[in-house]
Amino acid sequence: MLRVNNRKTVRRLAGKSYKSNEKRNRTAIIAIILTTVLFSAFFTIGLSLAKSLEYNSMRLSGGMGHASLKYLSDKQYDELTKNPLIKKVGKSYFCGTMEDGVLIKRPVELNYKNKEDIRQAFMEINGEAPVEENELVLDSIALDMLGLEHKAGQKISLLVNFDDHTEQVEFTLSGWYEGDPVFNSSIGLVSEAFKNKYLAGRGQKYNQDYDAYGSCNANIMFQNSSEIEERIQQVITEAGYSIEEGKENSIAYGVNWSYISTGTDGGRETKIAVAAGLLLIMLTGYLIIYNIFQISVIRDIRFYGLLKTIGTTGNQIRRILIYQALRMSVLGIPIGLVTGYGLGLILTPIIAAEMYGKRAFLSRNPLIFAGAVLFSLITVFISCIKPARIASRISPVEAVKYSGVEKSYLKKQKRTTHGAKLYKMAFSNLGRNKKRTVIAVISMSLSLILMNMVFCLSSSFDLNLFIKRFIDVDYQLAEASYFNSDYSQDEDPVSDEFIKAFQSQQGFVDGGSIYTNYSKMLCVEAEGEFEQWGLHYSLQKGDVAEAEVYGMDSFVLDSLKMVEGEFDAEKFATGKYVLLGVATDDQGHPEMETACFHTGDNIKLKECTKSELAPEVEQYDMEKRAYVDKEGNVVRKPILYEFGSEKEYEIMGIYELSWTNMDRSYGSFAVFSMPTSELQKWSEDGRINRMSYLAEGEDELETQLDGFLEQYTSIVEPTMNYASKKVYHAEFDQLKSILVIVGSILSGIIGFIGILNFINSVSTGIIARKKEFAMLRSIGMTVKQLKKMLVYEGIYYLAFTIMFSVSGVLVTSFTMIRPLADSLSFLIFKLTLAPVLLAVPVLAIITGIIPLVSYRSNVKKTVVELIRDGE
Amino acid sequence: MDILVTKDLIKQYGKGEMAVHALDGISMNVEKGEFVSVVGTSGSGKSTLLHMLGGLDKATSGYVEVDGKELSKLSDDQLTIFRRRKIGFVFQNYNLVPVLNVYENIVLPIELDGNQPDKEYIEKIIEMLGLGKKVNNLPSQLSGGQQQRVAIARAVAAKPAIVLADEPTGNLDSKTSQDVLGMLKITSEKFGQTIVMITHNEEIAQLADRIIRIEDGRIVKGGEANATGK
Repeated sequence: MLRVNNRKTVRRLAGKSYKSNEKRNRTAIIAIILTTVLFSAFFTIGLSLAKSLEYNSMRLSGGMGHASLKYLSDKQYDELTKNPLIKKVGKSYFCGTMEDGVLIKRPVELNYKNKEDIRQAFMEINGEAPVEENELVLDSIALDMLGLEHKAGQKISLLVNFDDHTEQVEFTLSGWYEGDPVFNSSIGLVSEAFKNKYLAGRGQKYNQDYDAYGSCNANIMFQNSSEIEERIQQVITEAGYSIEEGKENSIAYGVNWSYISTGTDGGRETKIAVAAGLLLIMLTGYLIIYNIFQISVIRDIRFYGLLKTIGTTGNQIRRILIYQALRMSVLGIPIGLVTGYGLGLILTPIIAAEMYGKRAFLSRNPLIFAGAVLFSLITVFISCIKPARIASRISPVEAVKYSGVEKSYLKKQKRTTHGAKLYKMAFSNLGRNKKRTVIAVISMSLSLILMNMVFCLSSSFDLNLFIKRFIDVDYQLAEASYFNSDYSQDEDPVSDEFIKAFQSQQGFVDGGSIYTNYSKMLCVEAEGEFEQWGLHYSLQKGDVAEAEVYGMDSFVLDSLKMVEGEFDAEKFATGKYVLLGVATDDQGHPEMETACFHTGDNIKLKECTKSELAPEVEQYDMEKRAYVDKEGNVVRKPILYEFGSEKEYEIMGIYELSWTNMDRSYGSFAVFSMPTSELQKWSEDGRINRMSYLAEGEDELETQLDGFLEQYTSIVEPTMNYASKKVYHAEFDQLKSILVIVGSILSGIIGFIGILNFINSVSTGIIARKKEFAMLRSIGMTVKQLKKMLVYEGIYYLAFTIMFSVSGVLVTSFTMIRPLADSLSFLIFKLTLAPVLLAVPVLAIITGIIPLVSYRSNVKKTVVELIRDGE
Repeated sequence: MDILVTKDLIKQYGKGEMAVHALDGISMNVEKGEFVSVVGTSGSGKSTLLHMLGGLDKATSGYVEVDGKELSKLSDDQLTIFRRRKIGFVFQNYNLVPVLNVYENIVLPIELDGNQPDKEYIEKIIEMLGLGKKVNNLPSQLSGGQQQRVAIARAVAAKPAIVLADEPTGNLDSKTSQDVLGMLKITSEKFGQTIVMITHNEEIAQLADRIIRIEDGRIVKGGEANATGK
């Protein structure tokens, strides 16, 4: 085949055609911008959330390294990290802790980390990493505690604990990084010079003196995350060290669980959600871009027919169109990218804060842009395919007649002798180009359906259920760590001052405490096979399992929700009875199958003075869910106990464990409650730990009580914290409003596209019928009647849109929202059509006005001119 | 009785030296029940004249009076209403509404006026024009001749004072043209309908009671009823 160089000509033709279609170009570019905005916002939010999730799980597991070698001497570090399996290695020295009074609530550990380790630990330092001996980097939380600004260059004098001595050190802040409230401690970075000065020679023989100060951790990244454990073991053994514990040349290692436990759970759902999101955006974009091109081709069909007549091939015509589409994309996509990324940056923290309650990471991944550009281009191209085919296949003769309207109106007969009514004509007119009508209707409906889904979901949020899930009393007072699910029985009691201050408030009605015993472990005798919290217990007569025991004041006992047996306060006070707690599932139903005892059973509690793993235990087998020995056999008695005192109780009944009546961590074999005085008997000196204080307040004084608690916990005793219905109410409102904000922005954009599409369809319909209108006027249709007909057409669009939206809403509500609501305890499925119905007046105005405006701007000529146009 | 009178009708496009006189002082009248044809070469101004007579366009000067109403004194909407009551149009390219069937097209002007069509009369017209079997068909299912017959039916359905036909056979072959013209003539005779037809075809023009000849925007022959022949 002869290749003709006609590229230039084709491009010039495309350019001319482009310039002559300014109005179309404007609409198309807006459509492309909006599509790109949706794509890039979607990618920004998606990747940022993924990054935040990854960050949060890695951060909890210590960093992004695949594995770490611990307590190394400098020599060991050099030997071990030579291994070619290792791709990158971060080096971190433990250099001491801060001993300052104000930092008790937020311990600060001093580390010297090399650059790679700083990167692995996700520390984004504002300023410089420490180089000089006295330079220090702290996180924002520690700085706040110290009452310092977030600014490099400040001087701080701090007491540092080097284990063998403490020393006041004058630091200069060389930088700071954003602290993570998830952790209870901060890491302060010091320089290598600092380490060398204060810890010279230390930490080199950890296996003998257990001096971690000055020892170093190697955080290792392999080529990829497969077989991490095998490879880290290989690294150790190949360097001539042992992986067995307790030997002189053994090296302790750790494997980053975030790489292991990131199972594919939920991976499929995520993929489906992402695919659905992308499809929705593509569909939205396709609907409008396709419509614009389709209309423009039909309008220019004579131009293409003419080109065909004079010898332009179909392929060239297709190229003419694609050139134009590309030109619009070149203008539209960059604008869309910037806007969409910006939108993503604004929305991500809002969403992330709600999803993880933690720091959001904004992704700067180039994939965002690549993905958005790619998907926008794909959408544009897909949208062009059909119009381009029409343009390229049109025969020159047909082109002259083709108007894109009549051709598709293939109905043969219309049985009616009722005559021509305006509203009937209008209805028929909508059917002239069914495809265009359908596209406009779907396009407008999409946003309505989406918006309705969002509101349906948000109206399904049940405040009472939500609050009940977290707080079933008016107020709960506890030490701050309790609310971070980080309560440990040895410490962190609610202070007497706090409770007294609260009790003295006006509006306080009654209250009571929940206690745990002080550093004493209790066990319960049991017999049989049990499954508790993923652990399998195979217990024989005389065996014990760990029990969690709470002492409760009568106020608390009265508030318990009994699910089996009757609570008799008088009998209970004798100390011969206990209550058994069972957890509830996501829907709030008690999981009775987890109750290992029942009302009337006698149980024996034993004080455990010592417990340790049996010597034959090698590891915990995830599959068998039990401790196994070297051969992999299940060890029957994996934990060996020594017992102190013991006592028998009768179970009076079973109650529901809730967010307020336990320590918020699950995993014990059984949970018991007994009167406070009874718990005290288990302690030699009567000391027990007040875990939390529950109280009731007068409803009318809720605001004052909340205000008091808020102020007290932030000023008087910052280590104390509280929960109240109001706090959760606020959280609930926030959750709901975020859903609504994000949903509204999204449906707003899609809705805007829908309206654009409608405008487009309507004005094309009007332009194509200019001559017909002139004829109608010549036979006596007044402009008023004509406009009325157009308004009718708009009303039909509206009616179809409402019908389509309502059915779409019903389908999505029952297939998507309802299952979701059923699976979440604080959602009660509530069908609402309010958003669609509320949108009706707005849409009615739009669908009523747009045809009129379009008529006015498109049909300016007089009847005669219009009639002549066609001849 | 004159149903249509024009006096010194001038239509000028452009101004000054560029001015083109499409109509240059047309004075004519048509009597009730007359079938008049207007002939002229292309560009002679005959279509412009028809537009003036039908109130589709406004004259630069002079006046048009139809059924005793001076058109220039009517507003745009009044003119439209006047048109659908008093004037029936037949166009070269039929100009039927594609989404309406034959019957609906015929009664459209009556219904636009908010009136009930005179069913008997409409049926009579439909029968006479041979459209009886086609009333439910859509225009796209009809031949050109059939479409033009529908257009004629539509033009006379409202019993207008005058029917204006603009090259009604322009798009038809000669046999069909004869049919359509025959229908037009019968309509004129049977219903006493006044008809003004524009054509460039002398042969067709001969069917009329009177021929008005236009050249360069001026009447060169036949402007006055009863003035020539008849």
